[in-house]
Amino acid sequence: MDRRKFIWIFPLGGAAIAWPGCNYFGAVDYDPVLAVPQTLLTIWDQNTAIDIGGKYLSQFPEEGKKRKLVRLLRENLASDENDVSTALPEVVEKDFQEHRVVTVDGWILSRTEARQCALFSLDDQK
Amino acid sequence: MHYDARKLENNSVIEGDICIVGAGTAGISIALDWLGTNKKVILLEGGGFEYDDDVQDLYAGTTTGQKYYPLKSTRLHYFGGTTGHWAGMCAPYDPVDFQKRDWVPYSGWPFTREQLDPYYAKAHDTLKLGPYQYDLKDWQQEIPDLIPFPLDEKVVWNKVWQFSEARFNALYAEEIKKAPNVHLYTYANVIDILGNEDLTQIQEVVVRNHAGKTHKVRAGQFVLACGAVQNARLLLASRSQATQGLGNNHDLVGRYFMEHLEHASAELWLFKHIPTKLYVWGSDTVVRAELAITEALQKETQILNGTVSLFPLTLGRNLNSEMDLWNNEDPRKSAENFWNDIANARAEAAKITEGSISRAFTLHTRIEQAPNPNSRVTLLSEKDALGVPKINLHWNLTDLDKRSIRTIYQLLGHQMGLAGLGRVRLNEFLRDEDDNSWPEDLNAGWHHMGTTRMSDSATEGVVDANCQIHGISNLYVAGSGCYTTSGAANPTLTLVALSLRLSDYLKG
Repeated sequence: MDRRKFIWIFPLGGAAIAWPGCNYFGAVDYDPVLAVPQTLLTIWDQNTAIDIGGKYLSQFPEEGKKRKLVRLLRENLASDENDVSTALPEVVEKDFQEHRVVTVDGWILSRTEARQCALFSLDDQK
Repeated sequence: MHYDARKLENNSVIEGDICIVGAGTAGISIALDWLGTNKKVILLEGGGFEYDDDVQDLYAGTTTGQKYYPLKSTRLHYFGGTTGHWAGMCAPYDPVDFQKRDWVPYSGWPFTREQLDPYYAKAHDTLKLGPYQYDLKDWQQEIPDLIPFPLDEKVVWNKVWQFSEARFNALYAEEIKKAPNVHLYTYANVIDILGNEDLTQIQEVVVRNHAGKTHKVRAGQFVLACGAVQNARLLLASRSQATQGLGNNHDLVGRYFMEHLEHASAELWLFKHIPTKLYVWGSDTVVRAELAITEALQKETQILNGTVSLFPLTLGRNLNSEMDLWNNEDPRKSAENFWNDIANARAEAAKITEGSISRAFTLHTRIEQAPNPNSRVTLLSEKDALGVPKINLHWNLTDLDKRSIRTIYQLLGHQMGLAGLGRVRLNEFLRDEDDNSWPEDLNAGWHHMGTTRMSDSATEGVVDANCQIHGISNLYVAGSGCYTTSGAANPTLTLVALSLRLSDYLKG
């Protein structure tokens, strides 16, 4: 599925699906919902999310690989969590509660949503 | 009673019980407080009842340091003073503003907010405000749609403002003119202050005008109420008996000039529209609020006191810098530039009604400036048309000022994230982590404060807690020049309250 098309249908209810554990996005196996900064896309367009993701990666080049980003994003998800789309907003909230906040291009973001943007940005480079 | 000092016989001697120098907000507030008493009040105004460019030109000076508005344009020089074009925003200073804070050098007033409260209430009458009531809960009973953002009250609180439409010229000129015991002299610019031999008491002030007339005013008590910059100028320029000027034995007069830093500093993008009138400023607004950081968090993060106002981002992005717009020496032309810009920005904003930007706001800082002895007014060698040295204002900011602004938005950004309301984006100048670097177009509130600061100690302040100049028994300063710190709120309400407190003291 086209990345941008996926983002578009996501808010319409297509997100709850569990993404098959395939290699669709390359060698890294992950649920594409991980790369969707759901709430941020209510205030940004996709290009902004990609741009912010790119800037995050410039600030934190050590996280510049998909594998690393996916691992970091999954770290904060409960191991038994199947519904990533429901879990991610909770992780974002927890980020703010625990001061895992990062400023990217002036935006004060949760670390998780910034990483989501970064993953989104890397996907866009494909 | 009113007299035009240009029409008096040259070298007239005017005598009264109390002489108030300046018929602006502070001077008129005090004069009104003496109406109907058995004391003869001499109220001196440098201008008349309308704008006069020759008189206004007496305020001209130079500026250095951080870019500032043309001095001539920042105050109005006629009866009523700057109430002639003020925005009317009123809120009391917070208790923390009066406290000595170990993270804010030179902070601490010689009295508390609680001690000023009775005068704040009285100042509400002078400024024709509503009840002296600034608790949001009280106002919500009257206006239910004042709905606050659901933020952690331990971090962010809602500072309520009221709005005055008092223009002292229109409001009080006739009352003052008719008062039998208040003798208003227009076109009476004080150019010198003369005391006894050891300068422990003032005997007379010298008055001059463009008609070439010079007069003397003798009184038992003298109150300087010309505004913070002009009060300092007059004290520094009164060098007939003291080469360093009056009240300046410790080189403090003119120092600690403070402004309010008022600048678009960030953006708030809400995920959903939140229906509330609390943060809106419209033509029917009785009260509104600004977001403020609690005293506890100020202490924890070691920052200054400041607030954040919201207005639509569609408007904010189309507004030009006030520091750039207010660039004409003539205050009328600067004001015209300013209002035209707002009209243009509103027209542009009206074109955008959809999309996430319609839920976004410009976050506008209003913050005290840290007291700083290097921010100061000094005399120039050049003199004005009446022979008084002009001044230079060196506006100087510190790293505490900038760090405080950034921290406020970091706290707010964090709170917005916690509440799931939206995200905050810092503007460019706050992303620059050099806290000594400021944008050239940084805006200020046209608020002059602190040049004759208050302190119990003569080595730390020009006036004492009663606004009496240290060492001179009958010379007082009224107004915002006495402020030790500049507070987060606009200065006028506090200025009137402080003037009424001084008035009370003078009555004994």
